[in-house]
Amino acid sequence: MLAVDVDCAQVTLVELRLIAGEPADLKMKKVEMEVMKKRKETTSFASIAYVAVAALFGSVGQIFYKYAANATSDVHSFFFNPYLYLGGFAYALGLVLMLKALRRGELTVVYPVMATSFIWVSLFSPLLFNADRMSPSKWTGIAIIILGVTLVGKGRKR
Amino acid sequence: MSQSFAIGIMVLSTICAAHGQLRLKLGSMRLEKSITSVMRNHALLAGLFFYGLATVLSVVALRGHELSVLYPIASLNYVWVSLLSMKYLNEKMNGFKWAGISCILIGMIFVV
Repeated sequence: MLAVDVDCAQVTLVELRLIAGEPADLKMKKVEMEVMKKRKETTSFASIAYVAVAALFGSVGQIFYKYAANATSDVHSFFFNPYLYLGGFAYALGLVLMLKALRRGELTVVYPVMATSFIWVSLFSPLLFNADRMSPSKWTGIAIIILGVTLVGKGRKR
Repeated sequence: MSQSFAIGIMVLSTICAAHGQLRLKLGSMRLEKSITSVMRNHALLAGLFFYGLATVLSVVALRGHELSVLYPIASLNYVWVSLLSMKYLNEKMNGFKWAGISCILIGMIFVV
C-alpha cells in the first residue's frame, strides 16, 4: 500500500490517478456501472423519454423531407429548398437524443420505442398531405403499437 | 423490378438497419463531447453508414412494391435488433419484450 498523507489536500487529480493505478474517469465509469447493476430497471425512464422525443423529431424530419420532395421537380431547386435543411436538422436532433438514450439504456428496450414514430407519421399525414384519412383500422394499429411499446417498457424490469 | 425482388431488398434493408443500430449503441457507449473523438469513433460512423444504406435500400424497394406489404416487413427490424443485442451486448430478452415486439409488428400491419 502506498502511504498517502490524508492531510495534503493538494493531491492533484494526476496523482490520484497514479495511486488508483488507472484513469480516474475509468474508475468513475466502473462505479457508475455498479450502481446501474443494482437498480431494479435495466433502462431508466429518462432513456425511454429521450427516444420517444427522438422518434417525434424523426417524424418531423420525415414530414419536412416529404414537403421538400413534393415542392421540387429538378435537382437545383431540390438543394435550395429550406425544407430539406429543416428536415436534416430535425433528424440530427433526433440522432443526438437517440445516442443519449442508447448510452445508458438497453438496446432491446430503447429501440422498440422508436416505433412510436409510426404513430406520429400516421396522425400527421392526413392533416398535412393528401394522404388517406384516419380509419378505424389505423386507430386500432396505433392502439396496438402503444400497447406494444408499453409492454417493452414493462420488460425493462429485472 | 419483380415484387419478390423488392421484398428481398426490403429484408436486406432491415438487416442493414439493425446492424446500424447495434453499431450506434456500441459507438454511443464510448462517446465523448469533442468533434475529434466523434470522428475517430468508428462504431458510430459505421452505424451511420449502415443506417444510410438501409434508407437507400428501402427507397429502392418502395419503388417496386406497395407500402402495405413492405411496412410489416420493415418491422422485422425489431426482431433482428433483439437477436443482435442478445448476441453482442449480452442483453436479456423476456416475455414482455417479445410480446411488445409482436404487438408492434401487428400494429404496423393495421396502420398501413
